[in-house]
Amino acid sequence: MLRIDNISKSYSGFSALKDINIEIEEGSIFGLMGENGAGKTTLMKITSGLLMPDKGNIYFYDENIYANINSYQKNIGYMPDFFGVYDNIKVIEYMLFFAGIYGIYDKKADKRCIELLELFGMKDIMQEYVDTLSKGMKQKLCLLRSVIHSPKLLILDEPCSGMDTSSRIMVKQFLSELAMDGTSVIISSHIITDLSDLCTSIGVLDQNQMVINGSMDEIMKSINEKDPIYINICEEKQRAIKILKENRFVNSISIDDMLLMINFNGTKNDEADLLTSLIKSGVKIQSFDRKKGNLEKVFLHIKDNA
Amino acid sequence: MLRINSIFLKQMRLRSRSFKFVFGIMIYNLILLIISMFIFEMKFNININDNIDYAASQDIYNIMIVLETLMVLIMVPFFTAASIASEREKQTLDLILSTGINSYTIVLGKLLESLSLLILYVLSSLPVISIIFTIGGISILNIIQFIFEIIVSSIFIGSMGILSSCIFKKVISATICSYVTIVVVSIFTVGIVLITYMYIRFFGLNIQDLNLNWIAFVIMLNPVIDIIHAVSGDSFFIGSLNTQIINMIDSADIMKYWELISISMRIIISIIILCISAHLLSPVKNKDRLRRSRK
Ligand SMILES: Nc1ncnc2c1ncn2[C@@H]1O[C@H](COP(=O)(O)OP(=O)(O)OP(=O)(O)O)[C@@H](O)[C@H]1O
Ligand SMILES: [Mg+2]
Repeated sequence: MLRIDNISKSYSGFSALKDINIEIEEGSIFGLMGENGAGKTTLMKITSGLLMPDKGNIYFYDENIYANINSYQKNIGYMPDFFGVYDNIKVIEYMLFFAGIYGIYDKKADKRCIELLELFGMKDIMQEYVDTLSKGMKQKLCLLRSVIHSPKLLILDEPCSGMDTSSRIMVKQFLSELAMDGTSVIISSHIITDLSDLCTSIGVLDQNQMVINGSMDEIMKSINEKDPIYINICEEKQRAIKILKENRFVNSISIDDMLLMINFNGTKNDEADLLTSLIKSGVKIQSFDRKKGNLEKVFLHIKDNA
Repeated sequence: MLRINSIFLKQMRLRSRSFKFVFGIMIYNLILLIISMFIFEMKFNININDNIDYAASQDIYNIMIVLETLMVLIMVPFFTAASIASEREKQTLDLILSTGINSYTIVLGKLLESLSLLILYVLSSLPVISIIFTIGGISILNIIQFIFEIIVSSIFIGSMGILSSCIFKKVISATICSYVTIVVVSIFTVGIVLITYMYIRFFGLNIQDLNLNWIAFVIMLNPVIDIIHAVSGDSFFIGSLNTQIINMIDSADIMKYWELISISMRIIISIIILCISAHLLSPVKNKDRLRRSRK
């Protein structure tokens, strides 16, 4: 539904984004990761039409968003990484104000706003002034504000940074329900573990470039493939090596006394088969271990490659 | 149009809740009251048997006009310059811009908001002004004309304030810029006319031989002179000099349609300035749009 095509952006000579390509499917959750200053916010602002890229285009359902930016923006919800506070405004008024901007008025607006506030258990505080809320509360309010008009695409810049654990879980639950209903979500974070269980695909920005981009499953697989399996054996070392050599998923074997380290590119099932055949042939195994790949490793890989 | 409403209703609600606003209206009316009582005392400190001097009530009315004019000159730039820059400072501008609301709508909403504030001030001062009615000499028509003139001038000055609000990121710089602009425009327009006048005097040129009608348009642009001229006639404020300058304009049509020309000219300029503001405000520009979609 959304295609970010070769976007580049520089701030007075300093390149913040370089040739970024992203494709986002309907109902998918795209996690944008990167360290501070990697360019996440810049990319999000460009995607929400608040910043003009120097180069490249964005297509929404195959239509160039720059042909009619306002009508594109009516289909998106954007939550920035800060919270803009109006003085002297109550929570419910804040919601109704934005409902009004989106063209939702009167009873319909009241109903929608209260319904949303209830979702995050914020109905009780709807008569309180916005600037007295805590950071996490403001972020939740900001998130609710961005979905008032049921957008097709939700762009969230570090939405959970100030939230406690239970709020995070609530937000994640909320987002996956939205995605289930067909809303696409772009979500950024520098906390890697934040996203791993939520996203269907991820992109990693490292100093203005996209170094990893793809579906969560593929990326996990590629991480796993790179991880060696460590086998500690007690006896029958030669037999074990013979079996390993015959296995077609084993790419390389390195031996350090009784510790065998193999590069293995099979699935979990193949892994289990290998272990079974070793045991069946009488090899005594003390441990058989593969470090589970996780997104934190993704970063390490990038750092290694750089 | 409904979208404008929502921008501007919220601001009104916020405004009326703020102490500054109520305080501002109070102080303003207090000053107005003190001054008018003072003049009242001076002009009408007479015995019951004396004739009432109706010209005196015209004088009070004129002074009121000067006060209200000053108010437009002081308040409108203050409100409008803050309008967009303050949203930028509070970081709420991005929120609004990301909703797909047209930047023309935002600019118009902000202008309406400032105007409505001003009108509140003017209306709140009506009771004080109406003291003059107790003496007579001023018609209701004068008052309506006056309010209309105030609105046109506010749009004109307000559009300059909005433009500087779009240019500058900080409220303080936007405010300074809009005041400076108004002072410069006022001095510049008067300056040109005065220099021309003195030039003609100095070389003893014959006014009849020159086409000096353009002076009319320059004067019309002056934010100070225009309000006063429109409401109180030629003789006030600049006195005989004003009359002589007006004499340089020999087109009867211009004199006849002065009000109409002046109002349309200022409205058109305001619209142009507002369009430029809206263009500056929108992060994705039309020009880019066309270039991109042609690709
Ligand atoms: N308005 C600006 N003018 C100049 N440079 C900017 C501007 N905005 C961002 N940058 C630079 O662009 C780079 C990317 O910034 P960006 O805010 O997109 O990073 P980020 O990934 O969101 O970081 P964070 O995790 O801290 O939010 C940074 O090096 C930053 O200094
Ligand atoms: Mg950021």
